[in-house]
Amino acid sequence: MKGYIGKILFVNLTTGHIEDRIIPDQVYEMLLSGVGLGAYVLYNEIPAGADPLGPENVLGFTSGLLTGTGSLMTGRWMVVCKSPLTGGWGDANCGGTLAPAIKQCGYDGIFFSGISEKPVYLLVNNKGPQLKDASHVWGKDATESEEILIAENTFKKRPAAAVIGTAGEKVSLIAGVCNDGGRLAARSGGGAVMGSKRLKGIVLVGSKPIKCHDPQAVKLISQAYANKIRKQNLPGIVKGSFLPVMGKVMGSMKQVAPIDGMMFATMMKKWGTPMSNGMGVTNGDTPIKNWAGSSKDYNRSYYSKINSDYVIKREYRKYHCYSCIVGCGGVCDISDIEQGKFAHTHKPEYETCAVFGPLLMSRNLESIFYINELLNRAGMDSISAGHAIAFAMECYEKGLLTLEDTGGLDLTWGNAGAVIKLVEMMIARQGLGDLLADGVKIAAQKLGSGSDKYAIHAGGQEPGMHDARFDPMMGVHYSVDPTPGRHTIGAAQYYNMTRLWEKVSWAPAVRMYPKNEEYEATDREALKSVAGSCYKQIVDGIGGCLFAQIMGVQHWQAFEWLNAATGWDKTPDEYMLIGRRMQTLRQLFNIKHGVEPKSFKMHPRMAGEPPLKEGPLKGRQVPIEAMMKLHWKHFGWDENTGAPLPETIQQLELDQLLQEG
Amino acid sequence: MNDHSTSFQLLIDQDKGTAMKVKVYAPPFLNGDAIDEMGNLEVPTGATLRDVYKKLQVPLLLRPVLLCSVNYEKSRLDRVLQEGDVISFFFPITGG
Ligand code: SF4
Repeated sequence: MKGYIGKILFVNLTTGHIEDRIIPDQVYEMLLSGVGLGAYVLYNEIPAGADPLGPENVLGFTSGLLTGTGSLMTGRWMVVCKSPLTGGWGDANCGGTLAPAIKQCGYDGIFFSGISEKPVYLLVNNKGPQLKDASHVWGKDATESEEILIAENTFKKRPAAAVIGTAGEKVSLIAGVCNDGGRLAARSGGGAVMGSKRLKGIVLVGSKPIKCHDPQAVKLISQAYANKIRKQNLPGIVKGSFLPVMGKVMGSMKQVAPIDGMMFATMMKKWGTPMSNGMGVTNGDTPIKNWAGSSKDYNRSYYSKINSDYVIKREYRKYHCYSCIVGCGGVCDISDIEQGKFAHTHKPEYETCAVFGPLLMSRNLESIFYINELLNRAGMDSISAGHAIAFAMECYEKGLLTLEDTGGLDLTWGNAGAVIKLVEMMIARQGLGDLLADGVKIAAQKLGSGSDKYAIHAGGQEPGMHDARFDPMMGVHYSVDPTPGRHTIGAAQYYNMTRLWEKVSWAPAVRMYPKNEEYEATDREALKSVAGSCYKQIVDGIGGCLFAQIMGVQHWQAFEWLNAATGWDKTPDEYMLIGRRMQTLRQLFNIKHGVEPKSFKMHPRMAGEPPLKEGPLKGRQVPIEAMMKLHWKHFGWDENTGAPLPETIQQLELDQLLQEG
Repeated sequence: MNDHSTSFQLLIDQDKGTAMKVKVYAPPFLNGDAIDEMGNLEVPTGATLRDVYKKLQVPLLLRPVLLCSVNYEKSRLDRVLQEGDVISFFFPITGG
């Protein structure tokens, strides 16, 4: 056993019973760790039809197979559960410091079933695992709770912790799990599941070694990668105002060519994800005005106000996740905003800037910083929260919500003051905020009157801030992934940079090609989306960062690290088979729980129905149903239903791992 | 092989018109016809970065903003390339 521990901790919160469980080597060889280990445990443990907020749901925290082995950018931890937002498979991942701590406590994952009578947290230290009373932090925000729990459990070594904020406690279905003072595993409603179990957090203090088969070989690969990253620095003359200009050029180009992923590192080092703030608007990547607007609406007078340089102007410290040498994060001073309510916040990600900027037609960057901290402390997913407000604004515009319904808030597009108030109401579950706190699908169901037209989601989850009409493959993943609406699974841009074809025999090679090809439902495009999906499972099995992944397999050498860390001697094709197996297992989870894959098809507006009349995406439409079918077919799933075919299950030997029921 | 024999070999190679491959990541508005699926571009042994610019038809005006690097280091146009060198042009993408 190398790279992984071979053991999980299982806690029943109803009975208080805690036990170690040995996981056979075969599971790791077939599914890796991380999301794969999670899928193995949850598929077998959660009975069909279990209530996601009931005692039968199982919530897990897993680390990656490569975490702590000396490999780089492999320190992300995962939350897995049956999602209350989609009714199917749920996972979310996050950086920070929790992933190595899970392994240092002697586990690859920590799982919870049942519901505790009173609020508790799990402490794992040299005395072993124990459930402790959390009533003193229940009702406190995530950052404060984390600080308190860490302080009271710090003796020799500072613990790592993950907690929910008040959004999770109030079982908001768009609540996530927080660590490191406001970093979130935001998606899938994992925070709501944790709240429903009255589990406030986990606090880990371990010092067990993480074994690695060939540390020297791992180190050599890491050094080669680190040497390249270190050299990636943009000259000072490249300013944030230059990016929207480049975006315009990109958006107007008829051809696409794969670029060097290392160039992405240069931008990530300088700005982090807010590098896309203006560029995404001008090239068409950023959805505007609840996906119905364009850069003609959110024009220069708007996007210049959320310029990437203005974001990093407030950054006084860089932030790196464990084992990361890029450090796309940062800590920003916000002591001058809203009467200095908060001293600092994590640098808002592009997703947060875009969803509280262009999606709501707001150009108030200060409000975005403030909302970022409000949501981080509450532990609420900014992507979903912003979409819920966009939904409300469009309903208000169309007369489906009145001033009376909004509690006197004028929800005119761009009204940043009203947005702040509404965020606070969502966190407190007050008035209209209560309606919106479970995401747009449920809000539209409750509001009725045809409001579902304005509820932008895929399978119940609000999409990432990347437009499928700009990158149709993004839309495919929004619609076919067992956790729908996620922007982190795949896209043509990601595929082109990842360069899987350099190592995987069946991944289609990409040279320069006409942009229009991306809008056609072809076997070739489907093979690319399948390859992207399989590789992403590997990344989520090893604890990898998406941004490292898209730097390319020639730089971030996941396959080679895996062999060196485990002592396996697998080819990239064999690893991709593991990725296919992991993804198929996640899909089987959904089938077991009665989720129809077809129901995950993204909202028509996201596919260009009706088409936009202006801007870089003018007239663009995505034949999403045909694309979903081809993707399923090339996965070995039924092309009409999306259910994995019996022969695929057999070929992947999944029957060996699954218990009936 | 000592230095003397290396340069001697280089002369023979150039004489014979021997080609070598360098890896090029070029943005879509350059002439990428000569780049194969693995991103390789064939150039004569002893070619310089300037020769690659010519082959890719890099417009003079764009040269300063494309921030070209060889093996991830800033390079002069007269740099003599070696087999397997990696030539990257800066071109942004949106992500995150
Ligand atoms: S690139 Fe950013 S998100 Fe990824 S590991 Fe590094 S700091 Fe974390």
